[in-house]
Amino acid sequence: MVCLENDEEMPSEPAELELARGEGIRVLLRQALKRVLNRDGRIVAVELMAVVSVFDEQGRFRPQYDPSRVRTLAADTVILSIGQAPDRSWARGTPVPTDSRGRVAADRETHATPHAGIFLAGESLRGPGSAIEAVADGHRAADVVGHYLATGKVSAPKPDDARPLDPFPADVMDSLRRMHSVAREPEPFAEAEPSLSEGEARREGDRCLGCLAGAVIDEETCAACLTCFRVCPLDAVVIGDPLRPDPVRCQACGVCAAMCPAHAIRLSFWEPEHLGDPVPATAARSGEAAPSISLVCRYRSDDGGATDGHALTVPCLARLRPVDLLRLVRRGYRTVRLYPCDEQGCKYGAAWGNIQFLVGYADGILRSAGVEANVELCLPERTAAASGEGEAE
Amino acid sequence: MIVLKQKALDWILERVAPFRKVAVLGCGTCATVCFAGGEREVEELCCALQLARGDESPETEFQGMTCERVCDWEFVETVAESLAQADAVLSLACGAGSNLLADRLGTTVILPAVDTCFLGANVGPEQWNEMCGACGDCMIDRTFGICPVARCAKTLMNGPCGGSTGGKCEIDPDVDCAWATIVERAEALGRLADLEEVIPPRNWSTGRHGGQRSLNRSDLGIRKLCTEALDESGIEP
Repeated sequence: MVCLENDEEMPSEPAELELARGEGIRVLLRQALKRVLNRDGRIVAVELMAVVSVFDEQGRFRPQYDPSRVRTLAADTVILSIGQAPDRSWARGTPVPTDSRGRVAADRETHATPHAGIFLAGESLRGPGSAIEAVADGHRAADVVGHYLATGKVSAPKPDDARPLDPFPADVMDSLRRMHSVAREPEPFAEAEPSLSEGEARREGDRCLGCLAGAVIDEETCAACLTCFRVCPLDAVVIGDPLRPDPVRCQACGVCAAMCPAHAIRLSFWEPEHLGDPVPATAARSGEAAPSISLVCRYRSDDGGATDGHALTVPCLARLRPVDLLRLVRRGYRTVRLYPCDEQGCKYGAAWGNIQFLVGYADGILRSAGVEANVELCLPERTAAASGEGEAE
Repeated sequence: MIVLKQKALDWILERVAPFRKVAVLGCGTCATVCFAGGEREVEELCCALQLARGDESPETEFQGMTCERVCDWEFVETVAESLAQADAVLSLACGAGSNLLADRLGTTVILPAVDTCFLGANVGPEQWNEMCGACGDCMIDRTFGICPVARCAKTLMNGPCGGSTGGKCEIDPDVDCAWATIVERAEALGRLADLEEVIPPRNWSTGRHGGQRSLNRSDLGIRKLCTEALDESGIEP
């Protein structure tokens, strides 16, 4: 492996590097590919040149080479694993001016190119950076473009009021560590990083913390009953006047909103109202003798076979309130099946207890109302098998 | 707070049976906080009643709403008009609120959906205990903060009685004997000797034995300021 950077400069985790070296991979540091040597149409070697420095004084990626310090390495296959460049082909044949290297000039503050109505964002404008920086730049550009479309004027985007988060409290970090991770123990001669199955990929994606996307208490409606404070699995609610969830601690599990007796808590993404009208009740009624609907936790690794009939994905079933299940029954469903994660797999730890309560409570109301409908809990297979409850449906 | 408990659904169903259009009213204060009659229970009850009655019957209607505090006439006023449209009002407010509501609405039928249980405190998750008998003559200075009116089964002023065993009351092994608790606390405070002084028979005239109690606070000076609002409401001050 040939690398421009040295160990410290390389954009990789030390553990990854260690893993590679452990497998016998030799890493040549501070070397760049000068040319590939062929004989009779086949690759026979690569010529490398020394890298003097990788970053300039401003810390920008700008490698400097010493073409006089050359070494040759026998090779029959070359795998290029280097960064990508922006596709600037769109600028060709347009009035947008480009420089000798095909780069498009644009104002770094207003994102505007000299040609009215064309703006740049991300790496096209700022050079190599992270995907997160590019997304943020896209937001700023959208702001400028929106203003341009509305007024015809180009101006700098609104000042960025984002501030770094406070460090995570130690106990929040602990509970985050319990969240899913699909990291595996390395095995000799096995593929070190196999591709993920769909379930694994979902779980990997679920490690997103949801920072600042959590619960918001409406002071007007809040009865200060302290239920949110009592049920929060992350101790995120701060007692005060008014009660408020600490935006850094809150991970948007939704337990507080589901339990709030005054419906005073809102979540910034997905509320039970989003269940909407999944299938018109009349269709459900006329179609099957006993229509059923399945609500599946987004974080669950298997769907437990919930794809039969109507299935909806909910980001953690603890967000549901008993009335949400009753409403589904009112829409004509005779069986409402809940597919949560099990206690060990629950992303939020305590959400599991809330789901058990939900099932019992809603089922109790249906019994006393004399309605022939059921709310069922369908556990992941391994839990069901472990507890000897044959059917996990 | 005033602690309430929702009545059984069968009971409620039987009472609402004769009515077509029923308003279900919750209260945003005590009833909300003790999970008996807030926004949450209003929604659940409307849903359960409609399910029990059968969704197909278009003539029936359960309309839910929640009032900030049903025991204040100005708040009642905010919902009075909508409530008056209904054939009956199913109230999830405490007895005080429901009475005020009935007085205000006059001819509309008021049905209670909750039982007003006691004046209590939320002593832990999902647990409320009676703490005060509202006797109108507080004397817990003599009992180290423990109310024997509410917490002693016999309302004894000098206890414990012979039914106290191991700190528990004879009525239920799960119920603490108020007087055993009083003795324990006196001991901890080093004031056990105080209990040797007998508490004389009490004057219960401030209690609940002389008809409806009322409280007039003319010292507050509020009434003069709000006569105009009173005139508008038509309520006799």
